[in-house]
Amino acid sequence: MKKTPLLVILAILLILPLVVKDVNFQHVMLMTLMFAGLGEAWNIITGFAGQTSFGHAAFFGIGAYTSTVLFYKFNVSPWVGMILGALFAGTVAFLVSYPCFRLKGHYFAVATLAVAEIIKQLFVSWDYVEGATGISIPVVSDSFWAMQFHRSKIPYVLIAYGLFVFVLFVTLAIERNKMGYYLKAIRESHEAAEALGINTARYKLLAMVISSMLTALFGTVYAQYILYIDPFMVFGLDVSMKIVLLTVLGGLGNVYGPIIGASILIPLSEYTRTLLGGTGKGFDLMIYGILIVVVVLFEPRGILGLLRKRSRGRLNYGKSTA
Amino acid sequence: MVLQDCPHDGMETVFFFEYLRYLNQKYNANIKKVAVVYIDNEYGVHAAQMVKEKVKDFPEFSLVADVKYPVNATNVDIEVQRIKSARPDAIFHASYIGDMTMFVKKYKEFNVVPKVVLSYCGGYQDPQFVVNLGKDADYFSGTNATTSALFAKMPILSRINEMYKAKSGVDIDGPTLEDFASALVIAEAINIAGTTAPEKVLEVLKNHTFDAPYFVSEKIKFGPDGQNVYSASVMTQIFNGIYEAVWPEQYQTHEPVPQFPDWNKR
Amino acid sequence: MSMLAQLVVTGALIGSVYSLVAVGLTLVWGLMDILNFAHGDFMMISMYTVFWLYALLKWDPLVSLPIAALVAAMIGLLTYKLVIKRVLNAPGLMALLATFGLSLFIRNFAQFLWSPNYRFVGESILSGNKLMIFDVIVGLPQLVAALGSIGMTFAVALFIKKTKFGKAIQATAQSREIAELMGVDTEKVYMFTFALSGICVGVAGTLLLGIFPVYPESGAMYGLLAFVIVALGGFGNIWGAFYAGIMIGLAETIGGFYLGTQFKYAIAFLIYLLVLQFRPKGLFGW
Repeated sequence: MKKTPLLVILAILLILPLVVKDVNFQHVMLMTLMFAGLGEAWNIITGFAGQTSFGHAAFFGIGAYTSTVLFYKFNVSPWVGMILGALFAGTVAFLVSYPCFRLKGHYFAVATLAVAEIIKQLFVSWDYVEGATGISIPVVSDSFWAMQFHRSKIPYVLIAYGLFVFVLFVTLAIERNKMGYYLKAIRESHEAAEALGINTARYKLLAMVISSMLTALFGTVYAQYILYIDPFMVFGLDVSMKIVLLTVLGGLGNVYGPIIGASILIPLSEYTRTLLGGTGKGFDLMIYGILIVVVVLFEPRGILGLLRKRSRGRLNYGKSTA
Repeated sequence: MVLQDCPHDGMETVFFFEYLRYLNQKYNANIKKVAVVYIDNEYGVHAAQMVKEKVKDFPEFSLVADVKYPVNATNVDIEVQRIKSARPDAIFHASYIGDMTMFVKKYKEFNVVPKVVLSYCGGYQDPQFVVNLGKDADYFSGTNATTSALFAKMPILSRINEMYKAKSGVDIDGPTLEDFASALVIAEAINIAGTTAPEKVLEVLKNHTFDAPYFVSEKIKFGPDGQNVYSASVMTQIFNGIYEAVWPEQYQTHEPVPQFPDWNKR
Repeated sequence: MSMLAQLVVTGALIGSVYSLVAVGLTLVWGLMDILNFAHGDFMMISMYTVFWLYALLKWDPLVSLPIAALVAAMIGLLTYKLVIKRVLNAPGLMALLATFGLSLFIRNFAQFLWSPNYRFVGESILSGNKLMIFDVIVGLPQLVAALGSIGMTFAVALFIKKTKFGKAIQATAQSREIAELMGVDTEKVYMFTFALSGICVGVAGTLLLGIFPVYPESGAMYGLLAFVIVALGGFGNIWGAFYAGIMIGLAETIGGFYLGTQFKYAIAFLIYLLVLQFRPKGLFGW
């Protein structure tokens, strides 16, 4: 039931950038894949487990900084850096979430926000990683080992695609697994879940750690693509919010949600910027903002809610709550 | 290769220290303690790094305060409190117009009366500085590529300004002059090379010393790293809302005053 | 010692204004469970209103205060009618999404209309004046801003507690359905609360204009801090927002002065995390 549309979408996502030669389009595809993947990762903790995180940029940034610092200081391959970044992010998630999980709902959300801002400030002030100045990744000629490609964006797109499929796989695995059911039980009612004997603390922690590690992976790809990072770019609130927004737009708690949301929001922001951004008057962001409002007003239950309304009578799996 | 005609903050920093030295020599200003105040982003942090590096070349000065503040700060109250407690003679600022204006207001409120305040390219050079602060902007200093006070002293600059003003309605400012210089330098390089072939033009750009009679430094020469070795800056100080040129001496339009008056005596 | 005294006073003054902004936010969040991402931007709009009245007509900000409050109230009302009403029954984060889009639009529209330049009010009745209390310097604009904010917070709290409509708001906050059954016009309650939330930031913004510039992003930091303060105080709790705001102001000044001015906001966020370990629903949450 769920597999066919998903496979079709994955096929389209793979073929599109390969056939459309426009470089700008490939860039948009890359960003869309990345953010869709980030949304899937975020869905694990927020959509499934119901713990809203406004601070996922913290993990994204940790991923970006780990691989970047290891490469430019110690010449370690960004692939290795990526794995280490994920581990580092997971550790941070573990240490930070444990005390935060006693907070519920909005209080937890604001706590994640606070954590991300603190981490951002730490990196801004940390001279070892060049602080506010940021790091320019040393440019080397096209190399798989160094994850740098200059002649074409396609390798980056393929890496992002690969990661996205991986994250999708993990997400689906969790959803089908008993962990997925436990998480959704926790989301629906914490107390009831506990009453059923679910170790809520353990599963929330697990969800957060997995989510953070997957998020960090994309941080590395982003850094390698842009070849420059600074704390404001990768730890910024706008990164966290973008992830939140595109997933909510598409439909929370469902595997299709981030894909739909990213496919709308990312091209929207990129194309308004290229078409209208040049004047410096902020037209592009004005239009982008208005369009977000319009889309939300048009279908307050997210795009998935809209689609689900059309197919009446289907089981309400992945019901959107926050 | 990037060729830059305006000075980078390493050169600006040296320029600042040399100016302080000049004030000490000529006016017995007795400036010893320096504070650096800067916004926490690449602009500010890099300027502060330069200060910490170059102060070693000027042993008569010591750094007594290093005050860094976040971007988008809602106030600068504790920053000024820090500065005040360090009692610096000179304050170096790497701030934008918003924070700089808040700093000036706070200096007034907390009665911070330094001898000299020198600003990197930022809030001080913004035309809004004098508009926002009126009389309170007087006595602040900073580097500009040029100032309207110099038009009388530099006939070629004056002519350029006339042309600019005819088209724009306002006097030419530092950044615009630097852009103009870039265009002029390229044109001259092409003329000298006799061709627009990039390699030949680049040859000329790298080796030739260009005349720049509109800059206080009078010449432009790009070093091996692409940086103009001559500092295309003039130190200005605001008097009665006008950016007067105070240093180097041969281009002075007003004598520098190395001491802020008490705030209520303006 | 006077160093510390100065820091405490400064922190309390700054915190009072933070509180007022937070009070506006907690009203809406507590009542409707709506995250208004554009809250800080409402403040920015009222600040621009006051600025233009000053620049074009030479009106002192204190004179324009009622107008700024009115403008902000109207914007709040409009936002409610056009946007919020439609997402009330949708998952909570949808309202966040909508107000986020609104925030983007408002900021960039402001930039389009008025350029990104920083505007200050140069000469006002209060500017440049200060009081000396023993060794502590208290700037008059800051003092008036703090007193005005405290007064406004008091007024709002009293209103909610004592008046009939205030009780209607409390009832609706507890349960919309039951309030309706009791005969409360909950639609009116919602409209009014959004407008009141606007008035709070309108007043805060006007009072700030003497010491802080207005520019398209001027509401950003205040908005962000307001989120944390509301959570710190306990959602929907007005006095909670007030005390939390003062606490954050103090954390910023004392923490920032002794631990590093560049960390002043990080320290404020840290205080939130620490306090919530002991009071998981904020200072006064229930």
